[in-house]
Amino acid sequence: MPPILEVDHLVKKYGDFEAVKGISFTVDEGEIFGLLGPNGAGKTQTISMLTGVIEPTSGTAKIGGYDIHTDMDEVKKINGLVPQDLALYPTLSARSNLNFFGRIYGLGGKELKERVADVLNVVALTERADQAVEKYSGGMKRRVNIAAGLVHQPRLLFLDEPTVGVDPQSRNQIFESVQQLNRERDMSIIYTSHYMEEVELLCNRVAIIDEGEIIALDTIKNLIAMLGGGVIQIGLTQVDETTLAELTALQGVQQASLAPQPTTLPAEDDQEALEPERKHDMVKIECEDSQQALVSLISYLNENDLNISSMEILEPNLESVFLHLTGKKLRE
Amino acid sequence: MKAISVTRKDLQVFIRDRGAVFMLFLLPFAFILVLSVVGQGIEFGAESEDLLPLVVVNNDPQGEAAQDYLAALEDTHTIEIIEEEQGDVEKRLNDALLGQALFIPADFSADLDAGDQATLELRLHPQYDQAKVMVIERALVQASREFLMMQYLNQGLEQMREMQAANPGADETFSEERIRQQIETQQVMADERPLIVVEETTPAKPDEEELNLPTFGQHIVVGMAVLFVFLGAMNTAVSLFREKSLGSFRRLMAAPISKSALLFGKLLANFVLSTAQIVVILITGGFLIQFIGVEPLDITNDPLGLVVVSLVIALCATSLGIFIAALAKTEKQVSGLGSVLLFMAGLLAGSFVPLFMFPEGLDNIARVVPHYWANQAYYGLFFRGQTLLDIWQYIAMLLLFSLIFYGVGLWRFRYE
Ligand SMILES: Nc1ncnc2c1ncn2[C@@H]1O[C@H](COP(=O)(O)OP(=O)(O)OP(=O)(O)O)[C@@H](O)[C@H]1O
Ligand SMILES: [Mg+2]
Repeated sequence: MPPILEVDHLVKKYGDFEAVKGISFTVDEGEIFGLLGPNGAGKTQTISMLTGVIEPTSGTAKIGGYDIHTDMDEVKKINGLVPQDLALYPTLSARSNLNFFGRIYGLGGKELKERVADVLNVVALTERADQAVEKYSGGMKRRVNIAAGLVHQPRLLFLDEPTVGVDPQSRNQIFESVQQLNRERDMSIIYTSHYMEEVELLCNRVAIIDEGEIIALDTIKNLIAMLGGGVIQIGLTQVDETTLAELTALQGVQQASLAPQPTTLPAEDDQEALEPERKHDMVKIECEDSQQALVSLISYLNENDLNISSMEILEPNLESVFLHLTGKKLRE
Repeated sequence: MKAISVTRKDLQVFIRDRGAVFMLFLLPFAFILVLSVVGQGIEFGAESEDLLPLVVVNNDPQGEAAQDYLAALEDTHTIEIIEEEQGDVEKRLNDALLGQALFIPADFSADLDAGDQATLELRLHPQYDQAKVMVIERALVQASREFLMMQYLNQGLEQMREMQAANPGADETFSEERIRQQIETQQVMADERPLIVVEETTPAKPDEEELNLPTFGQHIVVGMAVLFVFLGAMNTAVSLFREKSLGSFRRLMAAPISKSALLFGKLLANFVLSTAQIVVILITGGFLIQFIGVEPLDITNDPLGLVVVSLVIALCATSLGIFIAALAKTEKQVSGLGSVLLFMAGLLAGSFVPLFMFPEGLDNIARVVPHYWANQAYYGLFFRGQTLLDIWQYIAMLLLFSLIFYGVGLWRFRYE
């Protein structure tokens, strides 16, 4: 089966600033594909280009075989967009909102009525459907927001952070809906989030995106396998090449290296407070076996009288993968 | 078809927005009721110390009688005479920049000296306030009496002197009593066949006898219709801004509907609302206000003209809406600055206070706002007895404004 989505070197520039720096990926029919990245990574910009909300600066994409530059009309029929911000008319009822968006997709009459009833059912809001959206809880609003992207039965659904500001109950309901849509209606889904737990739970494959670039793309299993036998991060004073070499030689350790420092610079007035900390280096130790490595590591540090300022054993999850790749946390 | 869905949705949103409904439908209704009732009590210049200015064109500058008459008019202490040139005054009257003017004919003094009837012409602008007209009329009548009284008195004294010269001993004959009697008999004669008559005309239809001068209430109905329909532009602009801030434009951009269909649907909704506003206001002013004792507006003069003018005004107000949305940076700017500017434009165009009461110059500036042309078009239909053909220039101006607003709006409006 041909992929439902092929993205080919998409770029979005604002003046000199590149919000999206030429990303490429494909999504297979029937897949739930995750776009994971911190704030400002370029997730929404990417989705906006694929759905025709904004024009790409360069590059292209094909959706269901149609090019986004030449066949946007066809593309729009395949796409369903659930925007990051609630895009609903607050004074209208959920049903009126859905009727409106349905009509914009050319639905009408009995068909529209049935489709609206169906999507209300999918997001479990049938009972409250005739109440004004502004009277809903945050979670319920999110669910109407999703429903509005579903009325026209898209083949490819873009969900842009659909769980922001949502209580656990609604969140679970949303997960169930997403899985149900994927399984029972063969909907391909692109799921954007900066919550790695969500992506881990829902997605088959994930693209990790940072500063407009895809820095890793694989199945979750393979991504976590990048961490190998585990990763330990320790903060040490005065690390030199010899120390790193000796650490690498320890039993259970695969590779010791200086962890990349976050690229964001502290604010001017923080400079002074930061001075003493400058002496600490973050060492990233990739292990063959984290338990064994930990034991040998501690005895080595003891023998050499090295002070530990911090220590963290990274769990094998996407959060750690992100930290491992960028030296940054997904969320501050 | 999709555009119609947008229109339908916007109307649904509108009726749920109590503030907007209040603003566009109930507020003009309230303004008309209150202002027209209050306006009935207003009598310009009658009680105040201020003199009512009256432009006078004296075509009989050498005539003694004309000068005496003007002096008598000044002596009424209600009128301030401003003498001006004929050509200038006529132009301003025609351009509706002047409310009233008194013309003294060249043969005024000659006619009176010959004992013939002399005619003064009082030209009034159709919008000119009835209360002021009454002040002027009263002053003219009073001046005529005063003037004639002086004439008779002079004649009487003249007679007395002649007789006294002929018969120096007969003091008794010319008592004050006798002079008074004589004047009074002449006065009675004068009232039966007045020597001075005042003819009232309006520039638009100088031949017509019957005048259709608006009352303050009728003036206010037109003013409020125009003011509030244009205030509706704010609603258009706010609605466009909301789509942006709600993010619904984003969703719609991803849907198979063109930007032009989207914008057209939104404009159509506001066009429908503006038209509904006009209908409500005209029903109020043409019918309902009679139940609170205010004379209603006669809107039946030219039904076709009325429909065309109203639709063009609604169109102009709607395109002003996207113009505002395109130029404003935030929704706050629209509702704050926008409403202030729209109110001021209405004020400038004479929606509250008639234009002829404006200081000179300011009434010319009024032409830069579409409200002015809308007011003029309605004045033509309602007060000057004009029809569609007579007021086409105003309609053309409104269409020109619409085109500019729409063009700039489409060009500058950002969907993001
Ligand atoms: N209209 C614009 N003009 C200039 N820069 C923009 C514009 N829109 C977005 N950006 C920038 O592009 C970058 C990517 O933004 P984007 O919204 O795609 O991030 P995101 O990954 O969706 O983040 P979040 O998780 O916060 O939603 C950001 O740095 C943002 O500031
Ligand atoms: Mg985003």
